[in-house]
Amino acid sequence: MSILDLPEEMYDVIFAHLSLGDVFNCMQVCKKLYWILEKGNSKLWKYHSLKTFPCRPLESKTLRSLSYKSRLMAFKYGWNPMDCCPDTVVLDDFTLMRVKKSKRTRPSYSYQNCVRGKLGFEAGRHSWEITCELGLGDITVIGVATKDDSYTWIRTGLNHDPNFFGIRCDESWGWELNHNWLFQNGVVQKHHSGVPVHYPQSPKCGPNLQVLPKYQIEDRIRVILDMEENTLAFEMNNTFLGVAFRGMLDHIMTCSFFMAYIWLVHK
Amino acid sequence: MSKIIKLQTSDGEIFDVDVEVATCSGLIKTMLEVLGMDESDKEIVSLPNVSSAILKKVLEWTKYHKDNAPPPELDEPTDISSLEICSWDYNFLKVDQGTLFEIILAANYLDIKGLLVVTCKTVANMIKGKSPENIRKTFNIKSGFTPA
Repeated sequence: MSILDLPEEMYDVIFAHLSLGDVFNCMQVCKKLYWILEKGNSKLWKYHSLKTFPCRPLESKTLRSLSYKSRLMAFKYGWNPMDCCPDTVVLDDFTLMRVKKSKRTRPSYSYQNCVRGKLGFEAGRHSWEITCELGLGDITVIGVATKDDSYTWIRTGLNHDPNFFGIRCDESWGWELNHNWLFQNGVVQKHHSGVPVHYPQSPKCGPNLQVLPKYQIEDRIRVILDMEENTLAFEMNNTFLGVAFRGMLDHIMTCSFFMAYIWLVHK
Repeated sequence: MSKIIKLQTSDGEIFDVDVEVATCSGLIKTMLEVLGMDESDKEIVSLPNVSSAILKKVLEWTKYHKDNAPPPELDEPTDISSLEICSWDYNFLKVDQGTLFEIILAANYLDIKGLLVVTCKTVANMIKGKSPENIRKTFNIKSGFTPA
């Protein structure tokens, strides 16, 4: 008789005595263990979720509908309150970013709000969902950025420069939702003719998407970061929109962390 | 004199067990409560999922621990998640892996929480801090994943 012959509920008891690191190590042992431990709503994940956050049961609006395993993951990779613009707050178990209502006079031209995730990725394929509950800014970019000196990018984010948006020091890749543009390192990507590159490009997204979709409030955008193929792609409401950036990560493999970011400019 | 209950294992052997020891098992306790002691007194309780070798081990453990309170449920995280095992249990569970897993199955079937927890802790100790490759070696598991 082998450990793989034990009934599944026994694993709940065994792994309640181990750390999450041990659980992840065991998921890599063989397929059977992977599928047993993968079940995100099992007692095991509930137990570890409660053990990790005994005072905070991870019951915020966004997390409530997820399995315990997904809640743990979302919490780990959620927005970083130490890495966002001063006018921004991170709420609800780090899953919600909101612009602070402040009476402080803002610069008359525009202001920006940015946030990045707590943890980055070094390898593998990753996806996460972003939804805008309130209106978009004039420029709203969703994508990934490298982990760099966070204070520099916040400062530049607040300095207005009409030809330049967002993250100057970081390398960043993003999709601008209001105009369907692509941004790289804070600059709109343009064709040789000077016309901005549009994303999604109609031929690539099939017959149903001849007209570029416009983001509506509550639409769900899934960011798909593939660090094996070095691509960044997006899905909107489960429709794949094609690859937005290719070969993006080749030249900066030494900088191993990539962060999700959202970035808004209001007028 | 305390009452005796007869337990029959999967291989047909019959054990005379002190009721006080036997009722450490939630299964037998419930059975006796439902049936009443007088009737089951004469009857033999059949345990088709447990072999005599394993029942011997289980009875040895319950005899030693019969006065200990059962551990709390695992639903809420508590201090029981520590991996400490008392030395008697540690020596008692120095058995081959097959036997250990059989004892886990028997403890689960007979509903003996204390034994279940201590055996599962023993398995957890065999996994703790090991790389996937070392876990495979420990439990003699083939990977089955496509190499990266």
